[in-house]
Amino acid sequence: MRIRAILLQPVDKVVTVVDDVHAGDTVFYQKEGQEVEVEAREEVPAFHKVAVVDLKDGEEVIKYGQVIGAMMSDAKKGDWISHKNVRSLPRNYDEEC
Amino acid sequence: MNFFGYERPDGRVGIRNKVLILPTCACSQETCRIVSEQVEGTCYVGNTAGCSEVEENLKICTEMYSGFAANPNIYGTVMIGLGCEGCTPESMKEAILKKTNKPLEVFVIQEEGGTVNTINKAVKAARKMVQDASLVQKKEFPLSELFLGVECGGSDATSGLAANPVVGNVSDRLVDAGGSAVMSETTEFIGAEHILAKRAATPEIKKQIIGICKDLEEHLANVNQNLRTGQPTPGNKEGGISTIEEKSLGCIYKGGSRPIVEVLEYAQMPTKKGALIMDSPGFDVASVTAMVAGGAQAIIFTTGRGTPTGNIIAPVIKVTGNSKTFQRMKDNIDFDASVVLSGEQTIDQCGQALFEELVAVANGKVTKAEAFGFNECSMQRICKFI
Repeated sequence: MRIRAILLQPVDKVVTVVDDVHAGDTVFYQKEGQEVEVEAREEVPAFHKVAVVDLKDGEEVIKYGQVIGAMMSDAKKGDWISHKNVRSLPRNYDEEC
Repeated sequence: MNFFGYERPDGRVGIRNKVLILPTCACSQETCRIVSEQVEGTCYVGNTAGCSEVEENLKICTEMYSGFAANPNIYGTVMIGLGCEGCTPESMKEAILKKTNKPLEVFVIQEEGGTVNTINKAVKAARKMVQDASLVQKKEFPLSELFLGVECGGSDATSGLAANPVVGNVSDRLVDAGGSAVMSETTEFIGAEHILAKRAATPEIKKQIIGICKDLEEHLANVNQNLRTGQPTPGNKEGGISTIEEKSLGCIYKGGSRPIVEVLEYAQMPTKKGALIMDSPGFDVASVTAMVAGGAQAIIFTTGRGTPTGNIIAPVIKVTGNSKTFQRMKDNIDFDASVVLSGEQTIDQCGQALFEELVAVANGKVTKAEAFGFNECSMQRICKFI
């Protein structure tokens, strides 16, 4: 199966799939006018995230062009990225002011 | 584009025309319910606090319940107090009169000599007020008289991709027409507050936006709690939202893109028009309630998982970006924004359609939550009862 996904910003490391994905499905998305494909390595529910690059434990995860958290383990391109492998990071409000 | 509404003596314009039966505290809320049940055309809001509270909680309660009375959808208010509560009938009356000069009647259960005597008098006053309200004719007003609250609840990953950007488009349209739109839920700014802060009209407002996020985290740390244990919620996670940062980055879209001209305290009425922020919790019911107390005549509420909640004073328009949720919960959801995700419409096209729906609701179209008569009400508190 080919499942469409949404890449919000070119720098994003994850895409959002618009339907349920099975292992081996091809996830496709638009990046700067070009269609890009990635093979899903596992089942991913609709509207969840799939990694479009390999991610290392501790690495920042980017969606919306922003940091949404850090990896809690290594993940491969095509893996399901969820609350089970991403954690929230503390804020530095004083620096922002 | 204009809308038809009810002109109030304080100069504001309502889109509904109800009489409010208002309890000052938990001890008078059941009496209020009975009075409201006996008089068609009235509504009442519950109050589970109002006494045995620290000063700050009493202040919040007074701000909120006086705000309900001042909301322009309310023609007038029949307030019922007990007589010995912390949120005294006198202080509540004074707070209401500071905000509005609309009709107000006050009854105190201990002074009237019990429930039956109070109900007798309050029902008579409410019936008279409903009759007076029925004489108010709708008039045409510009959209600059509209004050919209935007909210999200039961979010999933579609909320940030479709429903919230569409609502943000509506918010911008209303602000451009000279009206106001308030976004609340401080919890759901966290992780995106640096982006929201860029919309601040002044450096002072920028500091306030960052400041309310910092204050919330410190407040919780003071009682050894961390909001990340409860946010995102289990349903958010199941819907594809992994962290509070991801939730917030999607949430803030619903506030649109116009300069933020004022940061309001919980339930506070604005002094400016335009795009506004209110400091409220991510708990949607307590947030909607506060924006209504602040004067919002209507709420647009996005959801991914699907939620039924409404508000008895202001109509709540439910919007989802998830086509499955729309199909599954048609009883509860008013507007389908999933056409943005499927590519059938742009955010701007869908925003135009939702804006027209907002104007229809302002003109009297009954929303789904309104048809059920839903009356959720919840109030933020700073600490334990005492």
